[in-house]
Amino acid sequence: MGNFGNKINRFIESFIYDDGYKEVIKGLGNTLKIAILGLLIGIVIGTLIASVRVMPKYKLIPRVLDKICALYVGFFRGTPIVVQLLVGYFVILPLIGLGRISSENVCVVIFGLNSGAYVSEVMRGGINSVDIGQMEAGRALGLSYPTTMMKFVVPQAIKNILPSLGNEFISLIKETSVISFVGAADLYVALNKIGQNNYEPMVPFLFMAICYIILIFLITQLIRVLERVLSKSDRNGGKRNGK
Amino acid sequence: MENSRMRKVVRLIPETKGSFDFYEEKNEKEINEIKKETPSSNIDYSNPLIEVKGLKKSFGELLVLNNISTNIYPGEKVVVIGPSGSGKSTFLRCLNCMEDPSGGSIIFDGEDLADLKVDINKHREKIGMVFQQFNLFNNLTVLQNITVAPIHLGVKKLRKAQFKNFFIKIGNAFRKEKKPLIEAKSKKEIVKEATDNAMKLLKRIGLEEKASVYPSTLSGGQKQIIDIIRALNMNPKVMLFDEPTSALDPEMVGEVLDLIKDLASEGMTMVIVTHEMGFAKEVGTRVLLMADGIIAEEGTPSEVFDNPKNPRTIQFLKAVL
Repeated sequence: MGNFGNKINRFIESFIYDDGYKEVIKGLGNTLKIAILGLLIGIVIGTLIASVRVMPKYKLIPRVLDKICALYVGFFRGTPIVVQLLVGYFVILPLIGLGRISSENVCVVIFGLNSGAYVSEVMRGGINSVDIGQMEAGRALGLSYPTTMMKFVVPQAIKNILPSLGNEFISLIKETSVISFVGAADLYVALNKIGQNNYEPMVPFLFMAICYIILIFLITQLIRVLERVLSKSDRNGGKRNGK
Repeated sequence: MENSRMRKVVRLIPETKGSFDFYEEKNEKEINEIKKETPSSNIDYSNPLIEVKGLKKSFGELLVLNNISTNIYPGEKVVVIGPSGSGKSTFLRCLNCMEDPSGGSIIFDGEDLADLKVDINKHREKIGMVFQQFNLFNNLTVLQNITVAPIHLGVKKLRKAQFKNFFIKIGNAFRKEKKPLIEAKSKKEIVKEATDNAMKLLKRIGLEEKASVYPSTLSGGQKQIIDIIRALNMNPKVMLFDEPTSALDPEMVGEVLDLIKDLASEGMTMVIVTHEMGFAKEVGTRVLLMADGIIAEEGTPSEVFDNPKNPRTIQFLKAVL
C-alpha cells in the first residue's frame, strides 16, 4: 500500500509541478471539441440523410438518393473509426493535396462524417417510431407532407431520438481516445507521457479512467435535464409515477 | 372475504344494466327527433358531391376494391357496413386518397382526386376525416389540435395573397386602370376566427375546460370527440368516419354517436363505416353493404336490413343482427 501511495505522489508531482496538467487539460479540450463538433456535423448530416431515407419513394430521384445514403451509412458503419481516421489522414488528404491540415481538424471532420451515419439511423428510427396515424391525421386535414412532418412528426420523434443521441455523444467521447493514431493530443497522449517519464503507468491510466467517468456522468445529467424539458406533453407532465 | 366480493358483483350488475336501459330509452326518443328533423328531401340529388367511378384498389396481388361506382349527394348519410376484410375502410380511405386508388376515378369539386397531378391537399381541406384510433397530435394541446390546420392553411393563403399583391402593386404603378388587390384576412383575424370557432365547438360539447390539456390526459371517448371537432373546424363539405366507435368502450360509444347524430341532423354530408347496426339504421339515409370488394347491396336502411336480396347480404345480416 505504501508502494501505491508512493506512485500517487510521483503522479501528483509530475501532474502539478511538471506541468502535466496542462497537457491533460489540452487533451480533455481536444476530446470535447472533437466530440461536440463531430456530433454537430453528425446531426446536420444525419438530418439530411434521415430526411432522404424516410421520404416516400414513388419517384426516381428520391430512390437514387436513398441508395446513395444507404451506401454512405454502410461504409461508415462498416469500418472501424480508426481505419476511417487513418485512411482520411494518410490516404485521402495527401491524395487531394491537403496534407497540411492539423490532425485535430481532420479528426473533427472524420468523426462528424462517422457520427452522421449513426445519427441518421437514430433519426430514421425515431421518425418511424412515431405512429403513422399522426402523419395520416395531418395529411387528412389538408396539410402538406413537409408541414405535417415538421409540425407533428419531428417534434414527437425528437423525444424518442434524444436518449439515443445522448448515447451517440457518449460513445463519440469515448471513441476520441483513438485520435492519437493520427498524432492528435488527447487524454491518452498526455497521461501516457507522464507514465513513461515516471516509468509508472498505473496511476496515470487509473486517472484517465476516472476522467472519462466524470465527464460522461456530467453529460448524462445534462441529457436527463433536456429529456425532462421535452416530456411536458406526457402524462403527469413527465414526472413518472411520483418520482 | 368471499361474501364481500359477491356483494360487489351483485351490486355492480344492476347498476350497469340500469344505465344501459336508460341509454336505450333516450335513443328511442332521439331516433324520432332525428327522423323528424331530417326529412330525406334535404338531400340534393341534382349534383353529386363525390362521384366514384369504377374505383379499384389492390395491395400487391390482393384486389381489395373491385370496380366500385356510387355517388354521394350533398346531405346524404351513407353508411358502409360489411364483414371485416370486405374493403369498407379501404373504400373510405380512397375517397380522400389516403390510399391512392389503383384505378377508376373519384370526382370531387370537378376534379379527379385519383389523378396524381391534382393538388390533393386543397381538396382534403374540404373532406373531414375521423379515425378509428383518433390520431390526435400528441405534441399539441387540445385547442392547438383543433386550430393548427385552419391557422396554418389560412396563413399560407395570406402569404400567397401578399406575394401576388406585391406584383399587382408594382404593375399598378404603370397601369392607368388600377387592378384591385386580393383581399385576405390578417394573421390575427385568422387565429382569432379559428380559436373562436374551436372554443364554440368545445363549449357545445362541454369540454371547454380541456382546451389547454394534452391529449394523453383525455379518455378515449373525449379523444374521439375532439377528433371530430378538429375535422369540423375546417368547415368540411363532407365527413368521413372510419369506424369511429370501434376503439371505444361501450359506455363511451353513446357519447360519440350522439355527436355524430347531432351533426347528421344539421345536414352534414357523411360517409360512415361502422359496425353499429342500430346506429346505421337510425342515421343512414343509404346503406352500402360491401362484401369481397364489391357493393353487394345498396339501398335505404329498411330495404337493406328488412328485405335483403343478395344471399351474401342475408348471410352477413344473419350473423350480426
